[in-house]
Amino acid sequence: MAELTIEGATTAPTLATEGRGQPPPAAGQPRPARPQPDFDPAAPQAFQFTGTGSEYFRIWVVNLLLTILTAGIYSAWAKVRRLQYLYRNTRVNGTVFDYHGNPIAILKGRIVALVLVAAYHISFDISPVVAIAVGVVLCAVMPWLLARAFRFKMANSSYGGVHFHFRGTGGEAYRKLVIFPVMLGAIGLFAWSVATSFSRNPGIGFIVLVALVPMLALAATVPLAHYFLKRYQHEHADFGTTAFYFHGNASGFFKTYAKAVGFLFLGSIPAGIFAFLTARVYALLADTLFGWLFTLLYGVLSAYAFYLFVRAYLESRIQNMVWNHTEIGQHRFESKAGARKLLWIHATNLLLITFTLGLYKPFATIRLVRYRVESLSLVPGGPLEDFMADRMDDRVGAAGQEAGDLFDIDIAL
Amino acid sequence: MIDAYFFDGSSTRRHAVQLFIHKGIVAMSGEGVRRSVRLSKVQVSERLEHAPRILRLPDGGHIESSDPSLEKTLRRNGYREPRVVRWQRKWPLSLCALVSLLALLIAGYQWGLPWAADTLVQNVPPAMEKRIGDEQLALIDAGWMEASRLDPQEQARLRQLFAGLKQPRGEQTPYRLEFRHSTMGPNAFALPNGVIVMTDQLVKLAKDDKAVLGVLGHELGHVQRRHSLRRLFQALGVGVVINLVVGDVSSALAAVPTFLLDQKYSRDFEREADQYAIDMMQANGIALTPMAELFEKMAASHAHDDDAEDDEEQEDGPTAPNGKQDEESRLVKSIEYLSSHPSDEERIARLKAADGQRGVPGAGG
Repeated sequence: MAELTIEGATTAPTLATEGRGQPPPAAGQPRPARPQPDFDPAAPQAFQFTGTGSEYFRIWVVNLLLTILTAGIYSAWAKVRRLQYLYRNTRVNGTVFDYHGNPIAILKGRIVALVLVAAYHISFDISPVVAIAVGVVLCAVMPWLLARAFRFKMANSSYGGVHFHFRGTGGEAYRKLVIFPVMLGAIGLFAWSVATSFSRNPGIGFIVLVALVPMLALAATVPLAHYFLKRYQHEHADFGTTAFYFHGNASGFFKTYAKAVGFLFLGSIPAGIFAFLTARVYALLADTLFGWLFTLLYGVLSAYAFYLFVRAYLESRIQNMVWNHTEIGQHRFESKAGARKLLWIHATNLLLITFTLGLYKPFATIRLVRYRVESLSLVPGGPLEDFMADRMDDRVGAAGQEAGDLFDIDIAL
Repeated sequence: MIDAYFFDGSSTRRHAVQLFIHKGIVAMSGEGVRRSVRLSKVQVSERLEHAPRILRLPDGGHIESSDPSLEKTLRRNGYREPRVVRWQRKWPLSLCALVSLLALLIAGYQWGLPWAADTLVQNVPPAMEKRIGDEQLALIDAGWMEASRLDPQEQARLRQLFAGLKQPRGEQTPYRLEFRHSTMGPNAFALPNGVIVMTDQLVKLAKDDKAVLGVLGHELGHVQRRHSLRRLFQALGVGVVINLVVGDVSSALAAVPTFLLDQKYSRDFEREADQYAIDMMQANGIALTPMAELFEKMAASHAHDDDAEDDEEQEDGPTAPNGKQDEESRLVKSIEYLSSHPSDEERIARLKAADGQRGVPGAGG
């Protein structure tokens, strides 16, 4: 959800901007600031998010109730309401974003996606050959689905009455994203090697080979794939008639991922020391009446702590890297998302969601979106001219987007 | 008079305008802008607390306004907010929605999901059940089972003994009894393909044919009621709903509530299978106390799990098959055992009580 807002949050400032030293209009101030006559091209325009948890909570509850009551049909309308809420509460330079997705189109897309998912699951019960065939077909259409998903999302986002567009074609997606099937193959090989080394007892060399090769393949492809995906997304985007330009490079992604893996290893050292020091307390607690619950939570949380840590790191660094290397016209972006702040948000969100049995979810969403949106600003690169709309009609079906969402290929970083 | 900004849709240039809405006509005037449109042709965005209202004009232009007087003017001109939006805006109404939502979730968990799973299971083709069961058996055999070390004659004797028993209510549930040497201690479970797996260790621990027959009756109950597949569907349903409510909080963490909620279903099935065993044993005049004593012994052996009489490997167990609480991994096993402890005492008491009602002597018969 967060990435949707940020994805859409690519902006066009108008001629008028705030004067130097003046604070940007406070969040929650309903009326956009009046255009200022004195223009300063260097003043960065911070993105603002005006949504509140309590308002979003009510939308969330009603959406959830209606979705369950209508056996999921309402979920298309819920999605439009949710995105409109997030977009319309995102503003830069006093003007808000808007979302125009048509619920009927989204519903159709969801039905297509559901059929695809069902085909995928049923094929497993028919025969392994059919399952593999369906899997290959799904892999083959994935780049096309991605292209459609980006197109739908962008065509239905606007700022100041001017729509975004995504020019990326299916064919281009195949050329740029061919790495994904390779990656999936490596993951499959990895899963297979884990499964086989569990049930049999082959030589250690075999295990090392069969586990290490896919692992190296993943290490080589994941950062590259992520880089290609972001480049594909940002290079083919337009705001009106103005194109986005992305000048990041793959080495940045490799460095970030390498650091994340390094942190993972380093983090296991204090974790090990902590486990050693608390072993006795742990044994004591595990023996109590609710010891089973304690051991379960301890196991899940310790595994999750690592994930949370790495996730916050990757999320912040990649958001910064991507947006700091994106330009539109002569204007550029500045992203200052902090890993520590994100870690704090994710960790407290998780705790509060757990203790409120999920009721904190909408508040958590707003907190995360607010931080991610507000860490972004637009730096005008000289006198700003008006962005012109591209009046070419770009109505695309929602099928790609929804299928993409369900298969989780819309990578959220 | 309403303060607003007009965007003509062909550029992001913002025009400050004054808005008038009167008799269903939207009119605006500002520097270089003078237009009017019928309100019925304008798409009015839903009302949000901190975001401006957006009026989308038919030709692609739009008006943004945060002016508080816009609401009243719109209402006076016959604009009605969609019902859902009114619902979302008011706390009492949305709290009603919350209460209904919780009631719906609880009722769905209590009755809806079991009913749906039951209905679904009736329509599952036998070939699919067979395939799932066969796959599970192959998986279990590969990871946690070895060929039975029990004397083949003993196996044949037990098979015959159980086959000779009447099934309750004249049912003719097809099943296949398999013996295995387990790497995880005493155990018995039923698979969707009608296979009942009994471990050598359980036969040895039982020391009494009546107890073994009771356990087999219990497993046959699982087969008859198709618990295996029903639990699979119910766990799936719980997972989907949790995912819907909690959303993207990683799947690993969503597994915890799914697991906890699954416990009740598991206990319900155990109770049902116990009742089946009671019916079957009583129909054949076999005492249930030996089975109850076997459960007591198993419970005791779990309590000393970590004393580890057997130094065999402690792998993760298969999670798919159902049956008694001990077919899963050591960790999950002890968790599940402890969480269903009260129900363990309860079932032992019930088995013993069943004998009392019939006046069958505990040791004899």
